[in-house]
Amino acid sequence: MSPRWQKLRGDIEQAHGRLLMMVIAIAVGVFAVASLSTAYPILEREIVRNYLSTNPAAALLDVDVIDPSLLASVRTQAGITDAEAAGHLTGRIELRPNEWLPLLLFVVPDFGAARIGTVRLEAGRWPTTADGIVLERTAVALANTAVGHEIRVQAPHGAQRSLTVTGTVHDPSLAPAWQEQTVYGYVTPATLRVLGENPSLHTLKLNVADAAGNPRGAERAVIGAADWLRHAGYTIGEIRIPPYHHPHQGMMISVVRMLLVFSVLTLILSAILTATLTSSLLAPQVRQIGVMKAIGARSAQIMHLYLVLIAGIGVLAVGAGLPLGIAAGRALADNAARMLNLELASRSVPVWLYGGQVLIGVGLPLAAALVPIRTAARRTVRDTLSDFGVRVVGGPGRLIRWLSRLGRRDPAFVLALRNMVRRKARLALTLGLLAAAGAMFMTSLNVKAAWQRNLIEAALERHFDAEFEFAQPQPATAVLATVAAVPGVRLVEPWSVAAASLARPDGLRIVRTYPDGGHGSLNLEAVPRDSAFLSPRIVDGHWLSALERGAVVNEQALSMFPTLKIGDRLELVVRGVPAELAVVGVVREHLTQATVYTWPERFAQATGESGLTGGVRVALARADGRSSPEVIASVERALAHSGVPVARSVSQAQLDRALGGHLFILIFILVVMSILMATVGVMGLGSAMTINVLERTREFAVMRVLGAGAWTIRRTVVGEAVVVGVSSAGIALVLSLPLTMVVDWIVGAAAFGPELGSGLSAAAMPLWLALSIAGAVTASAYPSWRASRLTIREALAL
Amino acid sequence: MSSLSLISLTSVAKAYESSAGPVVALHDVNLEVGQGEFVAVIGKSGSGKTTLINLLTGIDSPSAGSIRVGPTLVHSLDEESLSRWRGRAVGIVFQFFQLLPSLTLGENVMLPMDFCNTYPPRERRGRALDLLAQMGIADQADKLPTALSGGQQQRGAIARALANDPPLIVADEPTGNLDSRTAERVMEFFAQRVTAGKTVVMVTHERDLARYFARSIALEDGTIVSDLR
Repeated sequence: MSPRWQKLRGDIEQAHGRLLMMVIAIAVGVFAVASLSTAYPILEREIVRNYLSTNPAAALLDVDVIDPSLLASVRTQAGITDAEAAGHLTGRIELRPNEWLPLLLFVVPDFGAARIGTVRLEAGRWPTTADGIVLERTAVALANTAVGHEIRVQAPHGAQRSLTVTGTVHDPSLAPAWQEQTVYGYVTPATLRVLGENPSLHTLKLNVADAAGNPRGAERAVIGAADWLRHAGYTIGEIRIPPYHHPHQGMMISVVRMLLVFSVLTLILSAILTATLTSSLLAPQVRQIGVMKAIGARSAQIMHLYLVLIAGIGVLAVGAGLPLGIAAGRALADNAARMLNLELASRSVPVWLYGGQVLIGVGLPLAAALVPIRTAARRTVRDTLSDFGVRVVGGPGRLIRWLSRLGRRDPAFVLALRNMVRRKARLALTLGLLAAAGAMFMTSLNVKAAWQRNLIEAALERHFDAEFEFAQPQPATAVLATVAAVPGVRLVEPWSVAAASLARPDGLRIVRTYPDGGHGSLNLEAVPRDSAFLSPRIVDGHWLSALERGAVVNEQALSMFPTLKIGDRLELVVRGVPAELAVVGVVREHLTQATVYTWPERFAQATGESGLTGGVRVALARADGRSSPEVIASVERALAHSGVPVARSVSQAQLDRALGGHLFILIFILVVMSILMATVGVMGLGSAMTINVLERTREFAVMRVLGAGAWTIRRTVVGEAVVVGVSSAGIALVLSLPLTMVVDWIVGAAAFGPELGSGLSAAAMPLWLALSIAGAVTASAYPSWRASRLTIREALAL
Repeated sequence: MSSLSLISLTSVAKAYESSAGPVVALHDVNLEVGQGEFVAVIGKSGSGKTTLINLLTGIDSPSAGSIRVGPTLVHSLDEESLSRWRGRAVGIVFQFFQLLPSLTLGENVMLPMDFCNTYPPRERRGRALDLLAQMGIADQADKLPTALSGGQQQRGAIARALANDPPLIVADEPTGNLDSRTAERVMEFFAQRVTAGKTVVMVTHERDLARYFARSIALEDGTIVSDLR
């Protein structure tokens, strides 16, 4: 080995601690990028593959009669590739006596022959008898049942019957049951008869050519088929055209993309740390570089030497970070798949991605280290030989002078403050590293706080504890009296809700909802005039006036009609009847569906349900986990006793569970990412302190000569690190504000329509401050110990 | 002593900027040094001795004037060319030896050959051992500098300065940190190199060593005040 490489080997042996730190720092960055860039393509590919594997319907049409000749004719319509009859209805499943969950029943005439919107049998068998049902796999635990067990089901018209769970299926076109707090079941038409419902099928599933690639063309084909059906004498009800991707695809992909950006940020921070660590590596080498140049070494030769070192470090870091990152990425994809109810057919990623990660893992540190290496290699011999450590150019700034006055009686503190600003570029790097990590940490807690605030506000906006929806509208006065008489009920109000769609010139009723009917739906609600359950927060226009005949929309509804403004007329179709409502105001609500509010009289006019109510909302005298289910069960019993069939009942607790399940993993990953960044930040501070100590070795020796003890020297070093840590926390707080807004917007927009809204965590800043101080003390522990252990003779001889 | 001129300084001046204003380190220096001369540069602290040899070796550049070493106009070279030239044409010996601590003595001597690619790799160790043998420390070749005495380190540094067989050796107080006996031995080594045709320019404070020099240049306030042969 030639002497220059021998020298490099010697340098490596001398600075193995810092080099190891460099390897770890880059490995952390590579790990973050590798994990997210592995998870991203897997999820992006598999979420589409899973959804398309069901051969989802491009449209679902409610048709009065579906017979084989209709299906044959529809299949010949332009753009239509397949047509199939199916059915769906919403019932309830009894979890415990009188405790119900919504049950979405999909009716499949022949499980073996189904082609559109198929599900895959995972356990058990298809139902062979009328009392058999298969459940979606994510619904089994929610329904608190198992294959072979019986479940109590209530049909839409109120009939209750026990069905046997014959098997479980996987339906990746639906959001998981636990997230929606809805049980998905699949039955044959024979079961409908058992449940007292009409067994004929009224849902026409259509497949069209290139529904994914050409949604406009697909819609034209569906409208064409619907026109043909009308002209052929069929009655068309609602036409549901789902967005043709998984209900949570947008949210998941946006969130993973955002995390990918953060992971790249972590790698960039690691690269910056590499630059800092490279400076620390070169600091004690300055004179040697000068000597080498004096005996004939060219700058390029010296640069080559250290760039090879950094490249080697990059290779080691990639070797450590990449496999771990890939494993973590696959684990993340597995978890996300579980969360989205997906099956990962393959966890492979394109080979070029690995190549890219290796290139980035090696190239980025090289690029970052190039500056300090070039600077060191290009210093003149005279400059390097006369280097005696850090020089002070200009005095301390006004702020430092002012702070110094505060600690006038403590020279160690003053020295720590002034030392901090001696290397301004290095200080900026260190502060940047720590502040970025802190901003990320605070952002993750802020997002969590915003989400929790949304949950709380959503809960506060719902001034009721349970909601009951009837199978058919009921006389309002009688129902209210029945429910009000139930012990434990504090207040009851009539609330009617009807699904609505935007009126079209062609008279078709097209909605953009999924087969589950939940995502993307629009409701018209009748608000009792003296309602205590709604405290509208107007963001535009005004609330309904006493004589109002118009409507107020929430922001979720507004987002469905981007051009809608106050004063415009909203032309809806409600229960098949056109209804025109002037929009007088916009309200802000949290975590609700798109809703149009109007007075009961106007609702009755639109629906023809005067004096009737479609449901009630109930506030309980005591709303707690123990008494609420009992009272809700009592209401159920009272309604049943009065002959009122309840189609759906949702308690506040069920709603909270449905909402709460959506974001846990995102916040968890954000916190993990911020911890990774914080690790890089603390390592950065440690390296900066190490360089500072190396550069000031002679100063420490002089301090010792002047009588400073080891404790004073340690305190100076640790004090400087703590001042840097505390300063970074302040910068992190400022940075976290815009970052929180961006993340809130991404999460809110991707997942829930309107933005999440700003929410700042009160704990975030104190927690990060404490972590910064602890990190600073940890990071400076070794350099301070090293500084205090140097003998005067050793220090002055350097 | 040869009459052929190896070094030629013409109207060389050097001024440094400081917070108190410009400081003149050298002022209108004219100097010719012949091949094979053993020249002492003497003067008080701050007289400009180190500046003079820094200019000679290209470690520093003049504010005015020209410097020629052999056929090379040193003042006109950029930093990269200076490194290349210095490695082949000048051997530098520092007061504090400046051996690289992570390399053995032998490796330190091989380093200039490695950087300048002056000898084939397989010959470098042999040449380094030869040079160390001439200095009487071949048996120390595989030791790290920290394991050696000051005299041994300085002899190693001289061997390193001779590695690429440069015509000029510049030494900045090479005996300043040595005891008198070791200093004498080091001076004898330099004298032997001069006899072999090398030119040696040495900054020194030590009048006891005057007998080794054929020429003595005295500096005062950046000006040559005497040039005794």
